[in-house]
Amino acid sequence: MTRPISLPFRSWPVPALLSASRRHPALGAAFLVGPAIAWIMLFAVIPLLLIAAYSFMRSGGSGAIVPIFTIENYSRILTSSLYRRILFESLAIGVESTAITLLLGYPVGYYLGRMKSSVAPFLLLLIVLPFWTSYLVRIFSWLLILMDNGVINWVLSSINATSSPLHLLYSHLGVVIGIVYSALPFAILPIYAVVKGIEQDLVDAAHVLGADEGAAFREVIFPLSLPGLAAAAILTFIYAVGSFLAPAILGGTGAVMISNVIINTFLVLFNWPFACALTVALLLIMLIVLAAAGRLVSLENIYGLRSRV
Amino acid sequence: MPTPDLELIDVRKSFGGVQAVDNVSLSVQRGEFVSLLGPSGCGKTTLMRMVAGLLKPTSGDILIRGERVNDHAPYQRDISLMFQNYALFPHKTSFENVAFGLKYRGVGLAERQRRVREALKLMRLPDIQDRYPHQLSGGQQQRVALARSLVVNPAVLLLDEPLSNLDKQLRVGMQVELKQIQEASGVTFIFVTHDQGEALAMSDRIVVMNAGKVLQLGSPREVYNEPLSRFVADFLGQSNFFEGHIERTEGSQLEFKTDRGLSFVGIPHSETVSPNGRMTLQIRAERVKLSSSQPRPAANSFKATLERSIYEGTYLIHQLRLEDGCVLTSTEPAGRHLPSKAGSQVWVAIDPEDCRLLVD
Ligand SMILES: Nc1ncnc2c1ncn2[C@@H]1O[C@H](COP(=O)(O)OP(=O)(O)OP(=O)(O)O)[C@@H](O)[C@H]1O
Ligand SMILES: [Mg+2]
Repeated sequence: MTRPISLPFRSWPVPALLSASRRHPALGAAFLVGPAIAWIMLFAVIPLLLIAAYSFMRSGGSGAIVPIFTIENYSRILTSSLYRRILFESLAIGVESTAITLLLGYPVGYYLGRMKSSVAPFLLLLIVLPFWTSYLVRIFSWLLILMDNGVINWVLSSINATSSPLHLLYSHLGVVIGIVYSALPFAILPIYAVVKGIEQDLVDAAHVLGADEGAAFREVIFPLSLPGLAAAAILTFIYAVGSFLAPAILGGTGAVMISNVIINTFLVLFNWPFACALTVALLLIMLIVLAAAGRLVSLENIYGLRSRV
Repeated sequence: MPTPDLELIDVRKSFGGVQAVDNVSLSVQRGEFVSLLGPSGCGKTTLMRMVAGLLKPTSGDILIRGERVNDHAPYQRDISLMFQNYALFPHKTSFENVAFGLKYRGVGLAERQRRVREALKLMRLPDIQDRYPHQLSGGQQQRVALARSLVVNPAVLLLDEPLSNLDKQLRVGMQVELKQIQEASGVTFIFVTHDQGEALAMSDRIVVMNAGKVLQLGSPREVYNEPLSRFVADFLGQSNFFEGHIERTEGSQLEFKTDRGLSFVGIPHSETVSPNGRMTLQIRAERVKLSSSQPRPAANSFKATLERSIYEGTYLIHQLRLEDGCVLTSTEPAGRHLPSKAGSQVWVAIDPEDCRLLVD
């Protein structure tokens, strides 16, 4: 049985707007949805179509685009082991960072969401606080932490845990650490929001029927928090795969990701059509992974939320 | 006397400044069917949640089968609670919802399936076991919730308005069903309801509550026929109240004079009543008799104008105005005869045996 991919896009406000406009059907709908559609067209669809179109053209060197149809940009990606390796590495870093971010973010979102006291909003504020400082500065501070003579190695050597410094900087691991660090709030927030929305009565009902804390978590809280976990996974994955600054600063030549190559191709090599083809390839890979994940998790199946049409 | 299944000793619960439950003491024997009856917000749900262990009492003790359970978690108590809002698990089918409690009481799979099916059938819900709660009607959800709490067979079963969302027909059917289950299983039921008829029909004892306090505790007949306060008298059934005082006592009978000067004579009294204190006279609406001519003997009969009659199918409700301006309600079974026209003059007769004196 095939089911539509069920990513939590349904929670976007568009359906609410649509239902509000039902009272004045034609006018209301146009008025409410119009700006959103115009916005999406202008800033998402049209640029994407342009990128897709350029990716099938030839480069004239120095940024020039020759409007002649060709698929050589794509065949170059598919045949070059370098680009395949970089795409794979990006994907691997994306999946690893997403997994680690969810593992670290779930408990935090869970505890904040289940907290009864009014401290939770304050703690959430602390979590998003780093966003108020420059991302560049934050990634540079990780450079100081991960360096051979940085904070981590200094601590390890002063407690005699290591004889020679760990090479964390300019490595796959270093990039994953940087991405996990900056992606955590994206994971914590949706998990927090969904866990907070779980009715206490449902947990109470589980207890009254004999389930202890662990069983109530397994049977009620965790399954009901899956939409938040899915949203967190999608946000984190998209963010991680497309990372640019973390690999640029913490990865060096040790871990190159696709965004770095795309920027390089645009701004240094001035090969716009090839850069566009790389962008499309990245986009396709993300869509394929998300679709596969959506099918695997199939939230509608978990919930029985198939609508009663 | 055997150990009660449930015992509450001076239980209080306050939320901030609100006394939701105020000094409630109650002892329920094994197999008893006890109803909590009271207006919205009087603390019924709060009391149930404390017994279930979902709320900690501010003070007082809760004992289940003689054991103090104040510090026991809900899952360590041999109870089951049906929530007023059902609290069905939205991600589980009806079957899984009902089977949940059995699973955590260590009932094996085959036995579980058998008992869940039986419970659903009992609730007249045969074909919905694979449906999710959102695919059920309100009344079906309520019955799944009821099945879920019934099926575990606990020492004390707490039901918070289990039938409130059902239509009359089904409701009466389920009342009979529940009563039979309760009698057959011998499980102690604590049953919350807004519906006095339901409480009267089903309970061994009724606890009438108001503003967190227990006002009266007794059998259905006791609380209906011998209310101890105006609140209880007013809450159950339909009554007329006259404020006034005792004019004089003669042997075991007394005369009551209302503030507007109506006089009721020959009222029997056994309890010692303070002769000059202010009292309220209660007369049930169904005890007010109407006739077109002056009844004999003429004592306790009054001339009245029929202001209007409301036809309710089973009953006729008459609104009457006495000559002194007092309004009186009378109900009678709606027979085949046509009711008197509005505005017509009638006679009201009251049997002194049907007068009850209340102190407040
Ligand atoms: N968590 C809470 N915080 C503050 N006040 C509460 C809380 N729960 C209940 N109350 C208050 O305690 C009182 C009793 O509430 P409760 O829910 O027990 O009433 P109830 O008798 O079950 O009413 P109903 O018949 O409407 O269900 C109410 O005044 C209510 O506002
Ligand atoms: Mg209630």
